[in-house]
Amino acid sequence: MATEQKEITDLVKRKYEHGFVTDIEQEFVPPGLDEDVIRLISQKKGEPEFMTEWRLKAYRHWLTMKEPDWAHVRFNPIDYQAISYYAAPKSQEDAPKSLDEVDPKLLETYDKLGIPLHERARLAGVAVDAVFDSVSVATTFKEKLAEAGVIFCSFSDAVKSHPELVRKYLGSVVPHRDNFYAALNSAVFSDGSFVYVPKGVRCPMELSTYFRINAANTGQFERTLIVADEGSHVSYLEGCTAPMRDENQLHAAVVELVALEGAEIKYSTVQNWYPGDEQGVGGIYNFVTKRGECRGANSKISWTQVETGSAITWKYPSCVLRGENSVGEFYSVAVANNYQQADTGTKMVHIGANTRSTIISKGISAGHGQNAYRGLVRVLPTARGARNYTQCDSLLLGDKCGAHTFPYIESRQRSARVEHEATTSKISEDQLFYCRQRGLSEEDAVNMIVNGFCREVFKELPMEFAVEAQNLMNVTLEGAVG
Amino acid sequence: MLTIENLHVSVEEREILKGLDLSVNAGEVHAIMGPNGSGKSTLAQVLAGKDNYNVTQGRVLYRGEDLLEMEPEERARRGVFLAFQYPTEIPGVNNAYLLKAALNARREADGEQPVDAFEFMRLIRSRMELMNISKEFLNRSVNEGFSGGEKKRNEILQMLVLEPSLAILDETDSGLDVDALKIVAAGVNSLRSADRAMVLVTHYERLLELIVPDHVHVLSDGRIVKSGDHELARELDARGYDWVQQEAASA
Amino acid sequence: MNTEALSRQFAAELDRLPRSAEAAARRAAAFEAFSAAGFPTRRDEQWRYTDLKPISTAELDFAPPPPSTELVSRVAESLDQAGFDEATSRLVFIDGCYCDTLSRTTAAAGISLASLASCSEADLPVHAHAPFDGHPLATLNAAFARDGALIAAEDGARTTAPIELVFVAGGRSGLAAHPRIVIDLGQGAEVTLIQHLLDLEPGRGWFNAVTEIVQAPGSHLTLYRLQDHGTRQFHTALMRAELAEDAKLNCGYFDLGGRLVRNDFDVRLAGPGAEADLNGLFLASSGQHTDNHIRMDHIAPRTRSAESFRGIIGDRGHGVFNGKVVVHRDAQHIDARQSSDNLLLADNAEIDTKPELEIYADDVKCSHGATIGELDDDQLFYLRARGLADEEARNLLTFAFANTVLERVALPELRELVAARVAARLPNGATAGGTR
Repeated sequence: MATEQKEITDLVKRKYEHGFVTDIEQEFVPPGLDEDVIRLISQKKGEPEFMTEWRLKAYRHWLTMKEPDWAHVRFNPIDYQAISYYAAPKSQEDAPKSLDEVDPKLLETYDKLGIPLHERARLAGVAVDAVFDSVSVATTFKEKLAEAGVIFCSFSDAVKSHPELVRKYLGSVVPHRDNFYAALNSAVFSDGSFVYVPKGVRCPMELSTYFRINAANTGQFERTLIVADEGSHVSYLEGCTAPMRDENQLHAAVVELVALEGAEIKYSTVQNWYPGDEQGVGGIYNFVTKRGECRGANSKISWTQVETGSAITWKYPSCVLRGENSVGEFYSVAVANNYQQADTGTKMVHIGANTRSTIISKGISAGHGQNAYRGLVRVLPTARGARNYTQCDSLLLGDKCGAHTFPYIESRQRSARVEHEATTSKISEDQLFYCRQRGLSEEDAVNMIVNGFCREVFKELPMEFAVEAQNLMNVTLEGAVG
Repeated sequence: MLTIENLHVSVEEREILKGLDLSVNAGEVHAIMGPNGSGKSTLAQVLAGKDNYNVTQGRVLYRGEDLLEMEPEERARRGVFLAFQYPTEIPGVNNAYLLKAALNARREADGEQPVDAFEFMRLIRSRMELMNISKEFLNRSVNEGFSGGEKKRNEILQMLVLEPSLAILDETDSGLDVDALKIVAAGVNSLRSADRAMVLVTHYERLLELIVPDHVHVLSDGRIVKSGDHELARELDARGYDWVQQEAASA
Repeated sequence: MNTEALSRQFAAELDRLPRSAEAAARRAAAFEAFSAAGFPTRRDEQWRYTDLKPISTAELDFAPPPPSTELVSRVAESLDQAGFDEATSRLVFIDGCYCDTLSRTTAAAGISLASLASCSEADLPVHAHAPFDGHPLATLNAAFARDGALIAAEDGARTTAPIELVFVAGGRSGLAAHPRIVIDLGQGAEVTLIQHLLDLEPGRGWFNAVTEIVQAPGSHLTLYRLQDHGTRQFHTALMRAELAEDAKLNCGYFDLGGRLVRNDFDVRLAGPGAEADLNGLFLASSGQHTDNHIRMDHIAPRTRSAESFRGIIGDRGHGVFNGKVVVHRDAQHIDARQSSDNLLLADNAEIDTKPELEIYADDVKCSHGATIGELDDDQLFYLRARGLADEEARNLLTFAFANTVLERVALPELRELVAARVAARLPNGATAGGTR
């Protein structure tokens, strides 16, 4: 047994593939945070007055708040004055007008990441917005999307070119006082993506944003806002990577989704921030607030996430189901290997009648990883006929890791039906033996079983990313078999 | 092909096999019969390399090499196939995927090119027909939600595709009705050949009417106490095991 | 009740209690620990769904006076009427005060039964003084406890018939009783206990109990509790058990009454092979609030636990379930199951359930499930298609929902008693009584 245990642990060792640093000139705002820094960020971005004021309001509120301590994660205190709140590639100073003007080194970075910015993008049929540290560097397919009336641009652009939409929807789902990290983000966010899909439009392609942290000692605070107007449909994917560094870096993003009547938003994430090394040194602190509101009747918001990276993940993509018959979904695979800590899950708040939600969560713990599902299903008295189904499964690979499940289920509506099931077990020795008897190596057998365990979630991803997610899983768990 | 000498195996301190000897040549079909708890399934599991079984004495040679030294997958890649008594369910992994991965693992070990999806389909189609397995089956998860009969037919399908040199069938007949039993037997018989050996572990003689063995052995209390030909199986069916056990005890 | 009033009561009580200096110091420390933090509030995660304000703001007398002879005889009469058998080994308490004349302390060989106050301090098991970190109300009990029950079984001793502990609220309003129950089982001992909680007549008071259980290797404890207080009583209780190798604990808690009820269970499976089964059924309606809060620690390998709690929540009822299973590092081969099933029968009923798993070992099989819903429409329709009236069908199905818990009661008489009490509480109770 002992030897097998060891072999299994050997299998989980893995390398982080995206750990390179891009050597380009960057422009920083010096570390530290006060009202002047916020004004400077706002000014650098040429924002209208209302944005500056909104940021300052958030900052003043943030000063009154304390970091949350309820999550099942441990980390040393963050010195918010030691972080640089703005880093931009220097060439951004005179903003590239087209992709051709983008620093070739930057394009190379995205090439290494496998992100299709040029022709590959066209082939893949994916429109990409790429955010490098704090600034959006390129958005592809602008014209084709514009034909359909879809606005897909960097947040900074949106503030300038569509201030009325930004003003109407920014902070309407995640208010600036929502939580500590959301307040900080509201004060200092530098860029992100903005999507608006007009009434009745089915977005002609997958939209995609790649986030990349490059500079040292910076935080990344992007903000994404997606508004799907009545009867529209959009599918959006984000991917994330960061270089390998010994110090921890903070990533505190906010994502807001608004689905109006009959609209549907599908939001998929493949999060592969640098997780730290095998001893738990370095890695990204991924403290993210993601929330969608099904504002109109018959609307739908679906979150799918594959969380393999980050030293610490703290995120709960949620749905506020306000419109009647609206639907919320959360499909999640979270991996905690080596010394990674994940505390992730969702909130489904049922307000409208006949609202439905589904939660499928698959947690995988390996090495010394700690993986917690934390979820809330709340049925308010107004949510007649509401339905929730939750399935949370945890898989343990090795005897030094932990798997935890913290569901909160609250119902104040008799006609609502809520079902929650959870299981925790280790990878089955019978399954392993069966596969090995058929000639598969132990590692392949584990990958196959783990991928099978995650299948319900992977099948929710857009096709081209499902394969990527599966490969990422295999790389993440290389040497992690327990 | 397979030589077992004085094999002693214990599970959690309890000795199950107590000096088992068996020799199986290429081209032969051997049936191992015996009452419940005699050690039949233990033998099958040990040959496939399941852990938690401690071999305390003896050795097992497979084509002249020490089988017990090999990892389970190595045995499989060299052509040892176990049809499980209780095939394991693997949620989320579909049959086609496992079968193709297993086939390519075997081919890679033999220095052959892996098969692509088309070749794979071509390869399995006729075998699926033989086993009366429908196409939808390929997209279902391995053994999940299968009836007992479906699981057993799936085991034989895998065997037909992997074409092992040494096939060990652990109670493949249990829980099958007559029709399913015929299908399974037809599958097994189609694989009989001069360069292949089979060991059928069974409780009942009825399987042996359909897959006629060259040798029949009675396993009792961890040892082979009597060997013979197909007639022995018929006699056991008619008279039960008591007389063999008594014979063995008085010997 | 403000802190000053509580402090005055504590000072007075401390003078009254004839105990050693050490005991007094322990009480003082417990009181200090409680006072430092005060009553827990909903900001405390452990009290997220249960507001103690109705208790913390009530004016209560923490030193209930002994019952008068007249009260004792009324209690005796009412117990007779309720079918309690005098010949049973039993301890009877009125408003937390031990009542010698109604009790019978002779029990099976090797089993001793006594009021705690009657024991010399030296006789008490050490754990009777355990501190209660993380359980503020139990700490308060440690400061104020006067009396209670001691049940001790020698190695191999067995009860031949269940021992009964009867706690009666005598109808005098404004009293706060802090009874303590100590159960100490020797190796291989087997004990069955039934705890009855009832009101002589409706009154508002607080019953804040602590039950401490220590089980030696191979011992079996079966513990039933029928809480049938009037709907104005506050009831809070901590049950803490530590199980050695191969010890088994089987609990059935039936909460039918009480205005605000909070049961804490703190079970430690400390020896390999230990097993705990906790079953619960509660009814909450007409403004009742019932909270079951469990922590199950799998410390040793090869331990098993199963928790199954069912709630039937009616008009203005509020049910809470919080179950936490913790599997400690290196505690391998664990089987832990947990289920919380709840019926919401009224528009303004509320249920909050939080089944949790915290697992630090890998060779485990752990699961939990929670369901919330109203009666099944298809089942209702089926019964009505067979000719049952709507209300009758509802009662039948509601009773059936409760019955899966009742079926686990091994004592037929107790099962019948609880079933009858449950049926009586259903909207159209009388008709559903005979559905077993």
